Amino acid sequence: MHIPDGMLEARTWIPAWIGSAGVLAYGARRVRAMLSDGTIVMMAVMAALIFALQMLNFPVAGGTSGPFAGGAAAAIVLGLWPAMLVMAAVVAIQALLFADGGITALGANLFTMAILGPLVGRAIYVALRRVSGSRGMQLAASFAAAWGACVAAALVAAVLLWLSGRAPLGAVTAAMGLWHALIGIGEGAITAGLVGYLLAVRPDLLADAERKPDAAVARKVAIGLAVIALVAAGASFLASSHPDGLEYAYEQVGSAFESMTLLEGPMPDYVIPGIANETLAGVLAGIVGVVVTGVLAYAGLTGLRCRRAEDRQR
Amino acid sequence: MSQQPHSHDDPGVPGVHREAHRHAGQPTHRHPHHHRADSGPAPHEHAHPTNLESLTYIVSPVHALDARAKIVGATVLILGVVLTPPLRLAEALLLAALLAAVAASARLPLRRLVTRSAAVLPFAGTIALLAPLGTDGGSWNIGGLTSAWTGGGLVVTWGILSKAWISAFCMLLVAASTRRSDLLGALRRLKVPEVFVMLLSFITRYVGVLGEQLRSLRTAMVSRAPALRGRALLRSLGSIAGNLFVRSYERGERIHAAMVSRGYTGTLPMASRGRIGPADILFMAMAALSAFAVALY
Amino acid sequence: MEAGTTPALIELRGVTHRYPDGTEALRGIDLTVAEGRSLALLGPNGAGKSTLLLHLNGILRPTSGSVSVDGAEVTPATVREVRQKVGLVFQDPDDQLFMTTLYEDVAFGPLNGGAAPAEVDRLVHEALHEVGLADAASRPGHHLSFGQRKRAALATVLVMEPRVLVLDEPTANLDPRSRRQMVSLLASLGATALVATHDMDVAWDLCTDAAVIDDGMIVASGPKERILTDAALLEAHGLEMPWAVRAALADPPVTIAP
Repeated sequence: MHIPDGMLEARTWIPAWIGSAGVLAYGARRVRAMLSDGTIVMMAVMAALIFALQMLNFPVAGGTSGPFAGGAAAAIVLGLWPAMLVMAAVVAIQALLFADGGITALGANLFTMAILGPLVGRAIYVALRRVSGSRGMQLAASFAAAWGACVAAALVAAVLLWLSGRAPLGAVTAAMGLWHALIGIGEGAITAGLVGYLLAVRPDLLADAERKPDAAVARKVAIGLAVIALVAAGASFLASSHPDGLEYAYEQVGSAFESMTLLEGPMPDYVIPGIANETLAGVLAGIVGVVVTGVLAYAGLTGLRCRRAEDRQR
Repeated sequence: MSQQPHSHDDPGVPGVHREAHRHAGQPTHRHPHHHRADSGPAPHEHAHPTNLESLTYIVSPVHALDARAKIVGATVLILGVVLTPPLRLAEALLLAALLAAVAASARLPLRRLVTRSAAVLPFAGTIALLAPLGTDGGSWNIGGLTSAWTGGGLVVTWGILSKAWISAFCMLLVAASTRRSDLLGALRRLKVPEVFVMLLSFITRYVGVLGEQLRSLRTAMVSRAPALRGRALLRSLGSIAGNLFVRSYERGERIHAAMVSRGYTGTLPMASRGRIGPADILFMAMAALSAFAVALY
Repeated sequence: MEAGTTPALIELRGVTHRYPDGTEALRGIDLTVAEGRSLALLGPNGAGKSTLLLHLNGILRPTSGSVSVDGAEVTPATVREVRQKVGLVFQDPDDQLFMTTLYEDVAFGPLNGGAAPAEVDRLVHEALHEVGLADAASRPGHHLSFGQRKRAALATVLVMEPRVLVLDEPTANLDPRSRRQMVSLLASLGATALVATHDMDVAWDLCTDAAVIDDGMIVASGPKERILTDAALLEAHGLEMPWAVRAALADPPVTIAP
């Protein structure tokens, strides 16, 4: 989901832009150095395909439909960095040509959909594949990766909205989290179907997940992520209009848990479906936060490798 | 032969475009279909340009501006709108009038741009309506919401909605008045990394072709199994995606072969075109002034 | 193949090509295209036509044997020159029109070759004029009809002024009118050419010589009058005689040179 302009505060969207631009610029250099011309051309066609596939709507319970995002699928098939660049191009085109997502907010949207999505997807996929190399596990890992990427991206978007003071943490994370948990099922199933098809027809196209961890790369990735997180958090709180940003955040989190007692008057009309129980929302946010952090840490430590192009003599 | 960026539209008659193409609401022209006899490429009527893309062929002063100027101008204006407190009504109306004037001089259909940019409103609206609560964690019932709104929270709501809509409109103005190739060239000259420009270029070029393939696979699936639901449907969609992945991969190989056959050495050559002229500077200055006006008042 | 006294522009000697998975696509190909002649390469699907074509400008390297263009063998050192001399036009025009406007697509070759912008401009307009698409320079490939795209793809190669044109199924999937346009366009070019095709009538109309490839080997080659009138040969390899030949045979007084 694409955040429009005007919704995020400068203290949120500026660090997001800086962070995303930095990661993607680095990724662009890496990809250029690592991949052959032919593979880059193939990546470019894949970008067009992901864009086209995003017009694939699949039905979700209740008569609505969800679009296919493809971040995890891209990461599984193309490898992490190519997938990030491909998704970045897709998100950028949506913002530039279709006003789907703002341009000040582009940094944030890139972070959720083009950086975090593929990262979480790839990390989950790699981690689960180390558990078992069977085909069944490969499909399950694809499903889990796509689902996880979908939910993680939504949750981070929710957190960004909260950091801008746009919504109470519990409510927005629960709403976005639950909705995307539902959509994620469809995305997971399609991704698993895609991977299954490739396994049957062209297994050579899947970016290999069985690499030995490259400690140097893993360290760099972990450091990079930590830096981004610190910059974003620091900038957010430093620039916060509240005298003590940390205390402000603490209040917010606290109020999410306490708001059960703040429900006054008659039974509330549900403004957002799913906010029946604030405690549940808070707990859900906490659990997912821990899972996401854990996955990122695991990924950073065990190393994420991208696909190395076979150098065809052309 | 002119050295200018190529526009084969008749420059003497603004608003007229020589190349036949579709206007909104009218059907595209079709070409006879053929059945594939072998595994060669499938012929098809040419991919439908998106609604906005056909607008980029109009001739107008705005269309003729350098793409970099338009991008910079729009960005500056959006920054002005986004970074400042919510617009007062008078300001908002003036800004809207200014944007409408630009759209008019670009000979773009105003109503379409307005409705297209209004697509941001549903999502923005949901957050916007609830945002007043976010600032002090109010209670979640009608009573709580109403008091948040009447207590000045509506300004927050208005701010989000107006900013989202205005920004979207600005971007659409640029998108509708700039040829895709010029837009990409501008991004390149604005120092966007080469890899990205290539990705963006291929997306604009091939989404039509791949979209067609997607459509025909989908039609085939629907005609063979119209009642597919749930897991079976998702699995089929997955196969369609997989099929297209493989075909796109192979297409990528062929494209690369074609590029190499014509001397490709790793960077897309782009003939440099156009320079910033007085009109472009004027445009950017206008945008900057508007942004300052919004910021200071 | 009657080499005659005209110099061979393209020469394949004993070319074999084995794919990484072991399948042999080409099994000892000997073929010559002489300057001023045009050769129709005929054969059923899967016979190896496309694989063979990709050897002609160095995209594929033979597993054994040699490919020579204009007297020089195709090697990594000579490949750039070869690609200017051998203009390869692919079957799917969408694979060759990858830029955002037709102008850029046609300019791609000359720009890569380091030509100056003014020169590129002239070359592009000439090439587009030659194929009848001078109006469409500012349009992207996906805004053209299929027939127009085929001609546009041809322009992207013609602009480099190659010595020999290599065409992969130039008339495939074209409606009758576009097909006629393409055939007359190709005829007007009068270039040395190698045309891989199913279309027996195009082979008869456009080419001077013919070669039949099946299962990775050349089973026959020679002047078209000999090859394209040999019904038994053609049918044995999944082909048939061109209509012009069949019509003539049905009318006995007109004899075809043996």
